[in-house]
Amino acid sequence: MTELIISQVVNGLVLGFLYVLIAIGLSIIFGMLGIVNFAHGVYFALGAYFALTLRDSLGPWAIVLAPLGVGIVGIVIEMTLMRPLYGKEPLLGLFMTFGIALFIEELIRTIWGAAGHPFNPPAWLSGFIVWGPVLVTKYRLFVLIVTVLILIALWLFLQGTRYGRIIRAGSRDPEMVSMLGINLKRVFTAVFGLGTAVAGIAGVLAAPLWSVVPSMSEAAIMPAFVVVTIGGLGSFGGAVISGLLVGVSVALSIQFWPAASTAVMYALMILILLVRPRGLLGESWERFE
Amino acid sequence: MKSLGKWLLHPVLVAGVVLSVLPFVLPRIGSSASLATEIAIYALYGLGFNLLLGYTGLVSFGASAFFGAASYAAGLAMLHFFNNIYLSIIFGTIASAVLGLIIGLLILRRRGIYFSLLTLAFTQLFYEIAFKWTDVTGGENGLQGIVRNTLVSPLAYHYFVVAVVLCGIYAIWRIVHSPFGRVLQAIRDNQQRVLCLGFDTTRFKLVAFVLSSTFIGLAGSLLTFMIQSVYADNLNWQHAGDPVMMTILGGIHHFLGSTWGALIFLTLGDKLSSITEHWWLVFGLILIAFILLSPEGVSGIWMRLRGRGDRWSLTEQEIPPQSKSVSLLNMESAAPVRADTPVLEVRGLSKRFGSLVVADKIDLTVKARTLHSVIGPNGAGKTTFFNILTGLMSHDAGTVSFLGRDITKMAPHKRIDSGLARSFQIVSVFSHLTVFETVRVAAQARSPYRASLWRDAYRLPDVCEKAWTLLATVGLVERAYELCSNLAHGEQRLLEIAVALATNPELLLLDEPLAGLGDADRERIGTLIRELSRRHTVLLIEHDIDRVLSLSDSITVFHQGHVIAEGEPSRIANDPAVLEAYLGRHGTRRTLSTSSESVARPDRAPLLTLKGVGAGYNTSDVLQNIDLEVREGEVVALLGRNGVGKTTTLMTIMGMLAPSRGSIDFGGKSIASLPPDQVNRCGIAIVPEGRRIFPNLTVLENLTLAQREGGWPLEEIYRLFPKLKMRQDARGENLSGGERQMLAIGRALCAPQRLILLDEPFEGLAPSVVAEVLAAIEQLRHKTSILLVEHKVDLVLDFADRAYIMVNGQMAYSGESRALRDDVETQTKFLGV
Repeated sequence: MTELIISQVVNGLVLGFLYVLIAIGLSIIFGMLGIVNFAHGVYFALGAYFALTLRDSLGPWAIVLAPLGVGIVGIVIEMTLMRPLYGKEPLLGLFMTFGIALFIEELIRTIWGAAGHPFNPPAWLSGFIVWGPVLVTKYRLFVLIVTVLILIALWLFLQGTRYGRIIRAGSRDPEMVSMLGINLKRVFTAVFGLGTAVAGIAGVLAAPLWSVVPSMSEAAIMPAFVVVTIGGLGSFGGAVISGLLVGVSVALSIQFWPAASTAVMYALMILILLVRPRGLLGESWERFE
Repeated sequence: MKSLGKWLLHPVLVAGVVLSVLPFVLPRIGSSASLATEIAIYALYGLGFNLLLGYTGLVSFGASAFFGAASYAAGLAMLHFFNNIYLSIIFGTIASAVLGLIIGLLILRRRGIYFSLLTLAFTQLFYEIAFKWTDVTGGENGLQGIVRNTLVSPLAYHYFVVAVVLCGIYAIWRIVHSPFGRVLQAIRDNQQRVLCLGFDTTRFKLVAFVLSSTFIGLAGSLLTFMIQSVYADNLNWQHAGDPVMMTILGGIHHFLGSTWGALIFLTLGDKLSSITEHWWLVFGLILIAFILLSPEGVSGIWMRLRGRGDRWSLTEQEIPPQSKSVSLLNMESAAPVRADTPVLEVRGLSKRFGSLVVADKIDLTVKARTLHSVIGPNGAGKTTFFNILTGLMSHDAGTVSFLGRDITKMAPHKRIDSGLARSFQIVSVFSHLTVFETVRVAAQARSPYRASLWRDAYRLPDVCEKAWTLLATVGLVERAYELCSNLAHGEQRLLEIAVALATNPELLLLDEPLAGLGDADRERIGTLIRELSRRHTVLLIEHDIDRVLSLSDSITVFHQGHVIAEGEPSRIANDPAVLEAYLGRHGTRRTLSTSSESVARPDRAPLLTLKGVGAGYNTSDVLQNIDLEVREGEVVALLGRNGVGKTTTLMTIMGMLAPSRGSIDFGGKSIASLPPDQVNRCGIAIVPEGRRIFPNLTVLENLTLAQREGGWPLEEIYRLFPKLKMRQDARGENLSGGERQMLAIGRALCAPQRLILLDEPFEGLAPSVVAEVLAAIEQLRHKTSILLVEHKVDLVLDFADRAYIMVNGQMAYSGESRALRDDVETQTKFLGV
């Protein structure tokens, strides 16, 4: 029993860190542009599909190029479709991401078909690791390590670099940022590209875990919303805590009450938001309330 | 004849005709007749959804949850309880309404984005339940075996559905024209203003939420018997987008928008899906195209074709005619109140934000039928005081009693009910409502039918007449049909007053009713306020000191959250403490005053030149014909009372506001059309009003963010402000006012600059801190030019080279600051009490 719980907790952590990765991108885009990006799930899916296509010709390079490709798609979309809507009715931005989500998801179906594609991890990552009573696949452990590394890198980027500071400052007062000589348009584009590329990375990593199907965008976007809201909009730490919380809750309920495995995270979100209006670590953020 | 035409074009009739002929039209274009029934159902679904989105301004993703839940409720009722279509439909509808009530009670307290995400979570939760709880819902297979035992033929059921849907559409038509529905539309535009009219906005939103879920539930129940089964599919979040999509295609702000949306959405979907399985590809593109090109959908295109521009048609356009003899408000007719009775008594009111004290043991008594003014320099805590009085802001200690009743703990809308009314400093009207409607909604707050769902709001003669009377009193009758957003600034100010008057208040709180107005408007509104004080008790916040002195019966002076003087105008005008607060006369004398050579330098080259600049927000120009020059190495003071356009001038220079006229040159190059980041890169830095420190960044991060090659190195900034070094790891939100100011100045120095714009650098600072900041600015003058906005005159004149004085958006004076320093007459005329 205990072994089972521990194994599921580890699986939950893997899942949780993936959720965090998707949620962070969603969160920085939201903070900067003030738009809830409904299309975030399709960028995640695109990451997996790009890797699927590229790996036949490029091998391991596909892993790096796929997220970059997603970022470029994100940048093009921001420049052509999102930019005209800045400063207009905020609802339009939301509806636009919705339209983009519908379009790209169907595009994926058109290009790669509705059926799932298997995506096997490389040979050196297949198999299990047995560690006392705990049994984990090597690939899950790999995902765990990689996501943690990426999150640390992202955190260092946001906290320690000039660009990170611009992103954090811009989430509170974009006008003031521009009065300090920083080109806001370019920052918006870069943030959008970064957020979508990170979603793309998550997609690549998730490909061997969940098979590559069009519906994987839905499977990503809803948990990401939940994680961002529970953690508190704009909070990096909050997203990490809530991502792990959601991941572990989902993994445990898969084991013990499979029927409720997805419902549990929505129940969690409703409960936490009713008690803590701004989520676990959310700060008062007047722009969005 | 005209009325017949109008009757024939009534939306319910139009919808009825279209939905009735659809079963015959659709087969001709190759679709099935049953699609017509679906369109009718979705039309109601969309309208129910738009009651929240278009009318109330609530973005809910919960519509599909109610639609689906009602489908199941009706289906289960049919299978297990009634075996009767009609009862089952009623059951499904009621179930949805109850669900709406429960969810609404839980989540309507959450605002903005949190509300939307919560509706989404509920939708997903319902979907999971429906999909996984196989025993009850049939899970993936859905609920089968529902048989329509009456209305068996599809056509018979179609007309039954059309009849029910039309009843629903008619009900919604009544609701949106009812007093209740009109309030919803006001809430959409400005919730806080509605609250300040005495409406319980939370309850209005709750009722709207329940009504919406009722209509959606009715539609969902009808669907059950059309397809004679129920699937969980409709609950999925992608279907949560269905009503959104219909509404965008049809037009959010048009009554039948979602109906046309449903027609297009379903017909097009049906046609496209027969051509290609990837019809969503086309659909996604259509949706994106609409958002970019016609955000008001096909209704928007239709309106444009008819030459109506982007006018909305959520309700009928006409407003009730004004009665033959519109009278002005009778200033003498109000119920007699014993003079000398206190209307408002405030005792020991205190409020602090962290370390900042905004109200410190304030005592204030306002006597009946007097005009009592509250004045004080910027940041004195006047608006905060109003916010506490009206209950918009909580306070830490003290009591407020109004007409002998303790209202300290009363909810905002109840205070208004008991006879308080206020206008807002920032014009706060309903931008998408007509002028008439704005005043009418306010007057409705006093009607017994103020929340009626069924009456026609425009057939409440008392309310309409009151609205016309108020419009006549403030002189806006001619503009009654105009949208509020199209009014000039002065007209909006007048409208503000009319709205505040509409609730028959005993006490009228007016927050800077003259701000941003020209002389003629000031005169007009000032006289009006004086007259009103015979009928109401008026508490006035205003910066136009001349008018305050001539209008008021008594005056209270605030300074940094304290009451520093109180009494009749003549006494206040000569009170030394007041003079000090305004002009800083006997305040901090600087030690360096003699060392700095404040001499104009006409020999130097001009650095910044403004010629004939006009600028403003929306329709009204705040700045008119501004000429201003700053030369190399000069310190120029821009003086003027509050609200005359000093900050607007700085923002226009910075490129935050595009000038409507005139030219702005910097270092020989035009910067009038540059965005703010490029203006900054030309060499203009700003220390903005309110400092605008990034609260989530540390002191060091705030500085390094702005750092560019050629700016001051960090050590030099720390030498200038040693305090910043000690606090360099503190987050911006934890700094004191003085530290924030130092940081803001330091941040401006981080990038290379030839000119610094300083906006009220001493505002709200303690005297010792003022000296410190002043000493730092002294040092800057040798390295850069400075344009300084300030109202503490003597502080500035001692070291500025030249000074400008602005009055009401225009330059009233320019000259050497030495001359101005000695010219007490000019100072008093333009700046003093």
